[in-house]
Amino acid sequence: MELKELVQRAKNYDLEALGQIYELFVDKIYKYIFFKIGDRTEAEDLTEQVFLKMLQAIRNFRPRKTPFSAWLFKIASNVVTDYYRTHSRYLKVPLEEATEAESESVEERVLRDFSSEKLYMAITKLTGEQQNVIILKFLMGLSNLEVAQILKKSEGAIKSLQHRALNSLAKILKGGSRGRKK
Amino acid sequence: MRSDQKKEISKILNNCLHLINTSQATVEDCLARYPEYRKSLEPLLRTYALLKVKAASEGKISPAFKTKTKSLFLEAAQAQPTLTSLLSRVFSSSREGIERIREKSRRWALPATKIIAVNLVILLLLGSFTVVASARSLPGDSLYKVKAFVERVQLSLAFGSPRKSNLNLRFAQRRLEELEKIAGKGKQQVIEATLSALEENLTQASEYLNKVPPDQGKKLQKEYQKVTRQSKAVLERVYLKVPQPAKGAIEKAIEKSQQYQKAPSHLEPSPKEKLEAPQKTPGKSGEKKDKSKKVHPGKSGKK
Repeated sequence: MELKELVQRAKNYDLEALGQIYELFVDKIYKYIFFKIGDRTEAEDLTEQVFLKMLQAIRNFRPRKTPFSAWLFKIASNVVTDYYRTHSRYLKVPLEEATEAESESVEERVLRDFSSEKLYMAITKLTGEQQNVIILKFLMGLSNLEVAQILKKSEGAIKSLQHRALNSLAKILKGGSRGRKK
Repeated sequence: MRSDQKKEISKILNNCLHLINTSQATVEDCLARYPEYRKSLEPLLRTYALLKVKAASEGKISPAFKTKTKSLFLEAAQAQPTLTSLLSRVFSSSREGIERIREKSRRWALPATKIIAVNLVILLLLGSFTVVASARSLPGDSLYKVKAFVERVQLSLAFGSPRKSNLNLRFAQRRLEELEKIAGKGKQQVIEATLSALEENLTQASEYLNKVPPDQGKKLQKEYQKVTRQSKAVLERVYLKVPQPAKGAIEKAIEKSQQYQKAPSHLEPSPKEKLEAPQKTPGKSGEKKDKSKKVHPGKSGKK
């Protein structure tokens, strides 16, 4: 069943459609929140909130105005913003979830061993837009079109935004590692 | 860097990202393909490679959480139509009344805006009546689903561990009130379901309390201990009233409530604090605290 049809049925609280929508998006929403706030337990709580809020608001969703994924990510983004508003003093760094990937090369292993904390701290130093493009495109693997729909920008704007974001992140990572060695 | 050069690099970068992402090329292949841009491209592609590896190894959702949340989500979804249909049922009974008002208004020639206003007031009053009525419902009642749903939404919308913990304690107290009310007449299944809801509230209250920073948790900890003590007392009373088949579940719940009474370890005073507390040399603040208990020589000794 296509997403469009699923959403239409979900608007009438069709459990099967809602279940499928949940399966389609839960990993992505969790990943987005996890890389935004860097804490697994809190990311789980917030993911739960996103889906409950979706349920409350789905009747008002207008497919012609916004694609469903963009609408859902907007809810996630609002939930994260609210979280930051109340938790700014207790932000944590991500847990090292070292899951050994199958057939991992030496180069990949070196990259994986790069401190997640360092990467997370570097991402938080980017502008909001740059953070979003890094998380949505590179950490979640969404296409330029999907990122453009979520961020309400053109694909061309996403291409230059990803350039600026990678550039800034590379500079921060380079500068950050020097700073720590002192 | 000139803007047309920047545009060119953005284009090449996008192309390289696509090739690497679809495994058609490696970072090295891309750098070799565009040697004139190597200096600008290399840090970007290396950073991308780092992100790609991190994306594959981190931020994975736990299957247990995924399943648990899905059932919570679908449960909430199931309650939605219940809420909607309940509201529509209540509203439909008011439709006749609204029709009558319309009829009279036609006769009295009331302006349309007034009719709309009257309708809105009636709808709002009846809508809030359903939610208020559900708040008084007991386990097993038809409106209890609405009550449970409203609680779940409240919990999910509460921000911060202190609020979540506190809310769970309030809901645990509700479960205790409900248990006292249904003890004599409740079915075994309903009693057991209420007990497990109580257990869930207390467990969650304790888990969130564990996350509260020690400087903020003292008051909440006292509240937590008050509710767990209350829980044990209520369960002991309920035990005497429930039918025989439900007694086993109550016994287990009493045992568990004893475990809950232990405070989260990070909020307990440390052994050092415990030792130091009575031996503190009375400074200014120490004198204030001990005023009521100790008789000090001099002026304060009058007391």
